[in-house]
Order: sequence, then structure tokens, then C-alpha cells
Amino acid sequence: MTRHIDIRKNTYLDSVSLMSMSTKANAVEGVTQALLGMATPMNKEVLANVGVDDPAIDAARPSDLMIVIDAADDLVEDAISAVNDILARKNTSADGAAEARYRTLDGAFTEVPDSNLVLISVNGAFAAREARKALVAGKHVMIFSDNVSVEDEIELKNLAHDRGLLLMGPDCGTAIINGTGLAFSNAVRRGSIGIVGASGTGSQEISVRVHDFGGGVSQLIGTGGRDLSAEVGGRMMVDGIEALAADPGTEVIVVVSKPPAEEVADKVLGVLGATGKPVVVCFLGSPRTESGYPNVQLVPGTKPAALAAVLATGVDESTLDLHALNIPLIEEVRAKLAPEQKYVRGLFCGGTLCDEAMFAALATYDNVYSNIQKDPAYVLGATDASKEHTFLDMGDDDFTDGRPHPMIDPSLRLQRLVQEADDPEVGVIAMDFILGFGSHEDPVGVTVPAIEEAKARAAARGQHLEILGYVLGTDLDTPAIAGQVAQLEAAGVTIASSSTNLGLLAREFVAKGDHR
Amino acid sequence: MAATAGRHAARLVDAVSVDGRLADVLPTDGRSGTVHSVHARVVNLRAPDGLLCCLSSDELDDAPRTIRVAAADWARIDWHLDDPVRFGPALTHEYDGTTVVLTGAARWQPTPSDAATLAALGADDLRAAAATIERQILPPAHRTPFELLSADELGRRTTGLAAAVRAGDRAATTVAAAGLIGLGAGLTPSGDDVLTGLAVLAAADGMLLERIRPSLAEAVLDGVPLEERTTAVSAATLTEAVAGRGHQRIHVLVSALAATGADPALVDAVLGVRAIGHTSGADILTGFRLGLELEADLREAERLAAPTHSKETP
Repeated sequence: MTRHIDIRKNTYLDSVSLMSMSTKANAVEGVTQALLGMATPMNKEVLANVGVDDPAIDAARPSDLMIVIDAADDLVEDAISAVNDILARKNTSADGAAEARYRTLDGAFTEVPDSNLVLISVNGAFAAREARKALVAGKHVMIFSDNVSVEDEIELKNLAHDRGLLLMGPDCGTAIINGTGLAFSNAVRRGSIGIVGASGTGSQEISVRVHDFGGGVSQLIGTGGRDLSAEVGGRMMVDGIEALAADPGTEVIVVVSKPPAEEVADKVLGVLGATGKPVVVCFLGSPRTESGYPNVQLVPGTKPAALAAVLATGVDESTLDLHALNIPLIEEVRAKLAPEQKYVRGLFCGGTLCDEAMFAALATYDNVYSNIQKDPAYVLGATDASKEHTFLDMGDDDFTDGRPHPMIDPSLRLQRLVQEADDPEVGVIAMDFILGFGSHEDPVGVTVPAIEEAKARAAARGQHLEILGYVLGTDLDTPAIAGQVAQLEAAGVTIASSSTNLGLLAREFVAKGDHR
Repeated sequence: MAATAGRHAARLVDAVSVDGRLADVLPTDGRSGTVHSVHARVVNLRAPDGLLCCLSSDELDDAPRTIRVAAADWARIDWHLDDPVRFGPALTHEYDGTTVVLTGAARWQPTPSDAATLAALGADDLRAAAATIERQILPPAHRTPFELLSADELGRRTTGLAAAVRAGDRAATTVAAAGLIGLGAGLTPSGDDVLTGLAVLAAADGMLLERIRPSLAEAVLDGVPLEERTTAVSAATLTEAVAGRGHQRIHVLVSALAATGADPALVDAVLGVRAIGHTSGADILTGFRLGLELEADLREAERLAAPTHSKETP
């Protein structure tokens, strides 16, 4: 006779499961008794009263499950496996398929040894530690988490570089690797255009525009928003560019970012020049117009970037629908707005989309306020009332502190939409709607009631309020773009065909001829 | 754009109700807690300040520290052991972004008992209600070897607790009650469930059992930390019980005591409690029944001790 004592740490089973396990274990031939109970002091006493005493039991805590099996020597294993069967069944999904969930990276690496990329989305305080583990194990890493220190970022990127691995992030919101979308991404055609992006929605927008122009994406590599800062020095951007340069499936390289530190921009352009491949660079808001390298073309916006990339693959421009600005539409909207309706309010989920619209406005107006304005005189906080032209990145930390991102919880944006509609000087409210993997299942549907309310409030004072929407998505996304656009149109929303056009249309709708 | 871990796979789930007291103390500053344990219709959460609370399907009733979501939405709560959950204005699963929105959820508080009705019940009424409950506590069809062992001990210790209460011995009552904590099979050990039934009844307005509440509270809250004496889920349940808060069904049963005997309303309420968990309901009823018998004894003793009416004086 053998007594087997097993303590399962932190195992919380309901009574039915316990009974099932006990019944099964006790039914195994040769088992004299199988006792299962939570390791509370009182239950340990109960066992001690019948002579079951063991240091493992003494050390167990109330959150642990005690399993005591008395059986013939050669049958203990059968009883244990009966118990294990029940525990394993609890980890099986309703359709009977075992879920592959691992509590630690080491466990996952053991079970899936040929995995080569780890996506990390844990609290930022732990992200660097997990990333380090993954790099040491020889895996590429994408860190979705933010709140990772710049020191950790630099160290991790150096480690990745030394090992020939990619370290995308931290705060990397999108990537498409070998056709698989990671984190936020859109369903786009595969093709020969490789993208390296330091801005998440900017990269998404370019991938979608490439798809719309008939092109396809070979790889989309994210770097994290801080990569092109002076401190980080574009470490991942350079590695990403070199990876695309070496990739035979990539004919054209596109780089997208907010304006980098000057010295980093120089370094990145130098690396791009050395690739020998056609390159399109979009440093949103940057005053640079010349790259200094014949194969590197600088463009001012996401749509021009996508177009230039598709044309560089050999597509004939005359075959494309370029979605030129609809001038009659601009005149039509201007005619509907009252003289005092001279301001744009932009309410954005995507930071780069907000940036692009804001830069379009700044090209014409001085009085442009935002929570992501570089000029301190024009910075607004999340709780500040809008002023004149205002563009808000509602996915920025100011707005998401302690609450979900607007792509998850749109309530704050909906409130703000109705609030902005109460301002009689507002002529246009511009909004983005981001589709794709990871986004809200119906971003337009959840917003339509607030759009109707906003328009009704303006109408009640005799004004037309122009709501301008842009849906970032493709025909392959779920939900598909067509249905979302149709809902917006039914709600009286004017549709922009791209992020670039959204900014231009918003700016032009309110132009009164008195701007600089 | 600032990425927030878990914002992908965005899903919003509206809570239908939340324990009002929990809503007042739940952290909302965005710190992360973890999934403590997962069951078919319950996910227990450990808040960043250590508080254990519970997310459940609304197939289950309201209860202390519980947030309920519609059964139709329950499949969307695909949360697993140790997963991080952010406690902000809403509860957000940091891996898949599922967000349980508390705004708009009904705030639950236990139904208060009618003190006058309960105080008016005679000892016989209470014993009749106890007998009704007794009839509905079915012996389990099958007991595991461990349940058989612990049931014997539970029976002995429950009898000891009753004797201490009847003797009016506060210290002995505390010791006897403490002896039940963590005793028995199950996620909430049977001894804890017995104490829960007794404690919630004792806290009802109009009960003489009110006098044992300090002993029960001492047994539960004083001395060795409760989570070192019983499971975390049970510790949370007991802590609330000695504050007079239990599953809504227990409060419904307290209210139904006005309908004594075999009244259908009382039987329905008893059956409602019996349906809690797999074995917990029967154990809670055991404690509740014990409380009714003790209350009947106390009321009888009070009546006998009352001054004799003058006209009977020779």
C-alpha cells in the first residue's frame, strides 16, 4: 500500500468538480481511499484525526487543494491520472478543443518550441522583463504595452539588435508579419510594399490606402512611438528598414512617423538611401522636402505615401481612382454654414489621424488647439473646453488615464461630440472610425445616436452642423467598410476617402476667405 | 496614440447590477488586479488593494461583492486564472480588452427585514419554519470519503456551538464558531456556510440572536487572518455575512419567515437558498435552521423570565 500526497497550489474547484474527481479516483481498482479537500487548518485536523499527516500537508495553505490517495503500490499512478483527467477537462473549451494557454513564457516555449515571435501585452511594469526573456530565448518581440521606461527600451533594442531579432515597441499598436495581423491591424492584400512605422494608426492608414490603390503589403513593422526620439535613436527603425531591404518579397519601402529628432532623421534617411530600393518617407508635420538620396522620396501625408509606393511598384497612375478632393462638395458645405460657424472640432481615436488633420489645419490657420500640440500656447488638457479650431487625440494618455481607450469605450467621445455641437461657432466636427482586428465591433453604430443628437441640437438653433467622418478599414475587414460608411451616410455624415482628405476637407469646409 | 495594454479585441459588456457597497469601495484609479479563480458562471477577482470580489452571470442572484452581467453576455467573459484586470471606472481585461461597464448597473443592497413582523413571531412559529427547512435539506445522494469524515466533525462542532449559545456563554460561542471556519469540503467549506446562514439570520432586525453577533464577528474577524483559516472566497463570504449581508436569496428567506409552516412562499424561499452552489445551499440552510431553533429557545426563555402578571398573584 502506498500513500500518495499531492498538493495543488492555488486550485479552486467547485464542489461538483471535487466530487467528480473524488468519485473517479475512488473508483480506480485498488484505491482504498482518495481524500480531496481544501487545505484549511480545520481540514488538516480532520485528516490528522484519521492518521493522515505529512509535511506537505502542514505546509499547504487554504488556497491549495490536498489530494491524498491510498492505493496498492502499482495502482497509485492510475488514481493520480484519474484526478489529472478531471483537472485537464476543466481546461478544455466547450467545443472539446484544448485551449493553448500558458501561464508563463517558459511554458509556452516548451510547448511550442518553434514559435519565433512573442506579442507582449501585460502591465507595463512587467513588459520589459517578459520581453527580455523572449529575446534571450531567441524570439522576435512585439511589445503592445506602454509605460516601459526609455532605459529598458534602449537596453531591449540593443539586445534584440545583437541577436538579430526585432523588438517592436513598446507602445507598438500594429504590425503585419508574414500576412498575420498583430494587435490592431486591418485585413489587407499581401503584396510587395513593406512598411516601417513609428505611428500605429499612421501605419494602419498607409496599409489600408495601399490596399485601396490595388497594392499589397509584404510586412508592416512597428517600432513604437518613441523609437525616433534622440534617446532611442531609431534603433528599431534602422533594424526594420534593414530587414525589409533584405526581404526579397519587399520591392518598395514606406516609412511613416511623426517628425523625428533631426539627427535621427538624418541617420534614418542615410540607411534608407543605402537600401537601393525605392523608398517613400512620410514624416508627418516635418518641414523637410528633400531627402538627399535619389531613391528616397519625401511626401507630406499618408495618402501620398501610399500612392507613391503603389506607383513605385509599377502601377499605371491612370488606372487608379485617386479620390481627388471634391471641390463642389466643399462649396456646397460652405453654403450651408452660417457666417459664425468658422471652426473645426476634431474628435479622434487614432493619434496619427488626429495629427494629420491638425497639420492640415495648421497649414492654413494659427489658432489650432490640441492635446498633442507641440506649441505650449495651444495645448489643451482633456478637461479643458475646446477653443476655436480644436483637434483632440482621445486615445492619448490625457483621456485614457484610468479608463479604456476610445476604440473600446466610446462614451467619452460621444459626450464630447454632443458638447461640441452646442457651440454655435462650430461648423464641422471631424471624426475617425477605425475598423479591423482588435477594434470595436461596430464603431459607427455606437456613434450614430450621438451624431443624430448633435445635428438635432444645431438644427434647433437654426444651424447646419457638418459632421465629417473617415472610416479606416477595408472591404476585407470585419465589419467591412461599406456597411459602416452606409450607416454614416444614412445619418447625414459626409465621408472622407482618406485620413489626408479628412484633414483637407475639414479645413476647407470652414474656410471663409479670411484665413492666412 | 498611447497604447493601453489590452485595448485590442475591444468588447464592452454592461453590468446589470452591482453590490452598492462594493461599488463604493472598488478601486477606480486604473491599477491592475488579477483573476483569482474561474468557475462556470463566476469569475472571482482580486482587486489591487487585495479585496476579493466577484463577476457573475445574472443567472445567479445578487450577492455581496458581486457584479453581475447578463447571461447572454457571459460567454464574452473569457477570463482566465491570473489574467490581469484593470480597475478603472470600468473593469478591463488587460489581455483581450473585454470591459465590464459599471455605469448604469443597478445598485444592489440586501432587502431589509421587517423587524416588527419578525419580532412578533412566536417560538412555535420559528420552530415550524425550522421544521420546514429541515424537510427541504435533503441528504446528499453521495458523499465523498472526505465529506464523510468532515461531516462527522461538522456535526459535533455545530452541536457545540448551539450549546454555547444556549448557555449564553459569549467566549465559548466565539471559540465554537471559530471551530467551524474552514471545516469541510468545497470552495466554501461547509462550516463556513453554516456560519453564514446563522450570521445573516442573526443580523436581521427583530431577532434576539442579535446578541451573538459580537461572538460571530470575533470568531471571523479577530485572531489569525481569515484567509489563513479558510479559502479566499469563503473568507470574503464570511466577512460579509457577519456584517449581515448574504446572497439575496437568504434575505428573501428571512423576509419569508412571516409565512411560517409549510406556506408555499416559505418553501419557495427555502428552495431558492438550497439551490446556491452544489452543497453550499444546504449548509447555509443548516445554519439558518439552527438559528431559528436558537431564536425560538431565546424567545421562550425571555417569555419565561418576564415578570408574572399581577392578577395571577394570589
